[in-house]
Amino acid sequence: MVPVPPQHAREPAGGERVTDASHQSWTRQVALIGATAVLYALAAWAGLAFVTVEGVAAPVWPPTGVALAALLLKGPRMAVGVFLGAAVVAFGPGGPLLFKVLSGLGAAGEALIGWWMVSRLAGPVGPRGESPFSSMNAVLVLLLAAIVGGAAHGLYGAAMVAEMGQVTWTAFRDVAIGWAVGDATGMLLVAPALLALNAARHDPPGVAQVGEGAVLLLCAGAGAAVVYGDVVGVRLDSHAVSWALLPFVIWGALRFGIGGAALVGSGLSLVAAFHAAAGAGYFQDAGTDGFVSLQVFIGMVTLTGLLLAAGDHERNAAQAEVRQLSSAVEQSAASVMITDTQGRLLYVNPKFTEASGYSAPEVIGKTPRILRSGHMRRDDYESLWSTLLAGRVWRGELLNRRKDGSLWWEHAAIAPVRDGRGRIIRFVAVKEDITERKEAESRLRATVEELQRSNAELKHFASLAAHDLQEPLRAMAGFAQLLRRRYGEKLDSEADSYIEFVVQGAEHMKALFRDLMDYSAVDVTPPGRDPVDLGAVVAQVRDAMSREVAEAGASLSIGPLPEVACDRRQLALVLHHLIGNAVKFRHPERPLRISVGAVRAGDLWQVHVSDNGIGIAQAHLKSLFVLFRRLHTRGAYEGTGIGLAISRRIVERHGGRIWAESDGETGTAIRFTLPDPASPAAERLAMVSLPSPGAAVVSSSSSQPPAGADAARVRVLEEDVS
Amino acid sequence: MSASVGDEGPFVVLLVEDNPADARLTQEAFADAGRPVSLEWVRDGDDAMAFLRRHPPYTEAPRPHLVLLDLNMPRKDGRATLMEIKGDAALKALPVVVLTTSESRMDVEESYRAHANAYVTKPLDMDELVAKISALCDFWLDGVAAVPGKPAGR
Repeated sequence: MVPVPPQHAREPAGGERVTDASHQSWTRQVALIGATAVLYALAAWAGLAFVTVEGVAAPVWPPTGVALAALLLKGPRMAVGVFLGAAVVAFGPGGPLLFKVLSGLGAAGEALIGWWMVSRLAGPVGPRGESPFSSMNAVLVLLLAAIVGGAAHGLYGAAMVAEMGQVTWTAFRDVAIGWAVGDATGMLLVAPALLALNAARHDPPGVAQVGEGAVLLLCAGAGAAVVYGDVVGVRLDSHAVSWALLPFVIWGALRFGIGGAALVGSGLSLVAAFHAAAGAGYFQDAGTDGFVSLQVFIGMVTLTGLLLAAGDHERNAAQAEVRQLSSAVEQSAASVMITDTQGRLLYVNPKFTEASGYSAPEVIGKTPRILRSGHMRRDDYESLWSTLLAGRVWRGELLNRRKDGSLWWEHAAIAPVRDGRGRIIRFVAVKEDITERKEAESRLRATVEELQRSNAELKHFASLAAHDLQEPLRAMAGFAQLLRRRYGEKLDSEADSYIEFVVQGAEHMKALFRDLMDYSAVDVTPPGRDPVDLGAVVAQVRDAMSREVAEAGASLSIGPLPEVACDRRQLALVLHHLIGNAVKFRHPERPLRISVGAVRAGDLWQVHVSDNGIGIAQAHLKSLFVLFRRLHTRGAYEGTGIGLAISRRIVERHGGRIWAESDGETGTAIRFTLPDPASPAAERLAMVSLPSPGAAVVSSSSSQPPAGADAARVRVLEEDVS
Repeated sequence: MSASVGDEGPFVVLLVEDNPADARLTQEAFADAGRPVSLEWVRDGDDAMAFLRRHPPYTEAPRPHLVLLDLNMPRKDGRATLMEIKGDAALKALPVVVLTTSESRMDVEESYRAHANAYVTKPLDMDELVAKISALCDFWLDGVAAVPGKPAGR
């Protein structure tokens, strides 16, 4: 605040929001700085028109508010404009240059202090010009900035004018206080008012609002004139009667928010100064001390209004949020219950009513025990409460009973709600109906159990076949042979052939049992994941079958073979069956050639066992891999009809496929895929640990070969091999 | 071996087999193999242990030179019997040959791990059975030395 010769000045830039000054062109920056300087200077001249302290400081000093608003709106570079405006005004047009510069620096420094504190502690101006002073905290930050900035500038300015001889050092105290109070109230009243006016550009008030604002300002002005002027012909003790003006500030605060309170406060301050300067009212001769205390009073009244407005704003915002949240809770697809710490229900949402059958009035004040089904264990509830009372969130599943007695499952999350001091005051439960999921789970579990049971029975049957069923077989065959050994001479050749049929039947049944055992053993053995040298396995099978291969006069060519991920024994079993089939179904008129080879197919290796045998008719290719499926009468070709089914089961359990290709005349190729040991497909085998009774049925033997390119490469390789 | 047969009476084989038909076939196979053995037959592991330990009603039982043990039997099965014999200091020197229908690799491994002296699967074909029994006799009657302590119990 201050006076006389001028000392600072500055002003707000007008309007747009400023987000980042550095993004604006320098010409615009210069224009804004110039505008700031001009507005600061105008506000300073206005301030200097009023009362002064010792002729150098004005107790009403609006430019500080102008400066703060300019920096907040247009960025800290506007401090240059503040500097210029203050320097121009200080000490009049002919003042000494040094002191003009010092005055400018003081004003710019104060503006930067205020800008820095507000930006850091209260936040920046919003993108649509929203004032940062919209919360009680922010208003208190503004107060702090005003006090700190005003005090600093007051001390600086008073020392400066004393040093240059404008006032005596004995007047230092009065000048400093007057200067500080003027600056502080200028910042406190004017800055929020200007920011509110700026925000109004983005969100223009309606006609009614403008009208009410005009009425308010008129009334406040009239009230101030009564209190501070002599308009009623009576000079009032304005210090006391100033209280009568508080309602105008409250009016402004509640109806127009922080900007309203700030405008009314600014208006009151100016009216008081105007009347005093015009030689009217209490303050015309109350001296500068009296005027300074008036400014403090108006500042505090305004502060009250600002806080009220901020509180009102916060309350409205909080209420809006509460309405929003409560609408979310009301509309929620999950049941929501709120209880006090005793577990008594304070609130339930409509979904709760829908789920439980209880209306809100029926359950409020009761505890959720009314929902207990009696099927939960006591421990469950105890763990729930101990979790909640320890302040943690409990999650779990609850089986509840509806009003009509039926049961439903819920997945619940129950959390404690704390007050500002950390005490638990409520519990909130959000619950989702999972009855359907539970029922599906239990059906699934029953199905799995049923499958496991039937699977176990199958395995039991297989072991029966392997052991117990073989004993009677052996008795049949053994005693039939014994009959021939002991009584051979007494039997004729026909009897011998009958005995032979018995023995052959038993032999065939034994083979069936053995293959069935192999078939069921596939599920018991977990799929192998380790690398197995396919070439070594083929060589082993070839050696084991060398007699059959030689008897058939077959040539067996084996191409380069990779490592695959498979159980070694099972892989040998597959190759045994495939090579065995090639031998068995050889063409009577051409020498049998069998080739084994492999090509890469993505993550997999595609292995083939090809022959030039009798082939398989197209119609039978698909059904080839079904258990007990034989394409030939037993007289023509021996076999159990299990070998290919076993092979398919083994391959599929290792993540591969198996299929047959044949033109029905010139031979057959059986192809199957197995994972490369280094591929992700092999990793996945780790997860295939459960027996998969259904799998074989679903995927049976597709007979399409994979992509054409692969198939072509297979053919090339075959040619190389054979 | 031949010494013990010659000096101390016939070579005694204990057949532990629950199936009478199988027992009979084995007996006939011994006959056809032409080996002079005394074949004793019990029907399960409990009886076998009683026989070996001369518990009633086998107080007069001879000491066998060889046990032929079926695996799948009611009451005490062959696996448990094998472990009991091999776990008994007085009996563990007695050669035990597992003679079973099972071709399961697990049974084979388990039996050898329990110190079975041999594992023989029962063939379906009578001729093969006779051949196997002959081979057994060749080995155990003629091929290897008798366990010196064994006949001491008589």
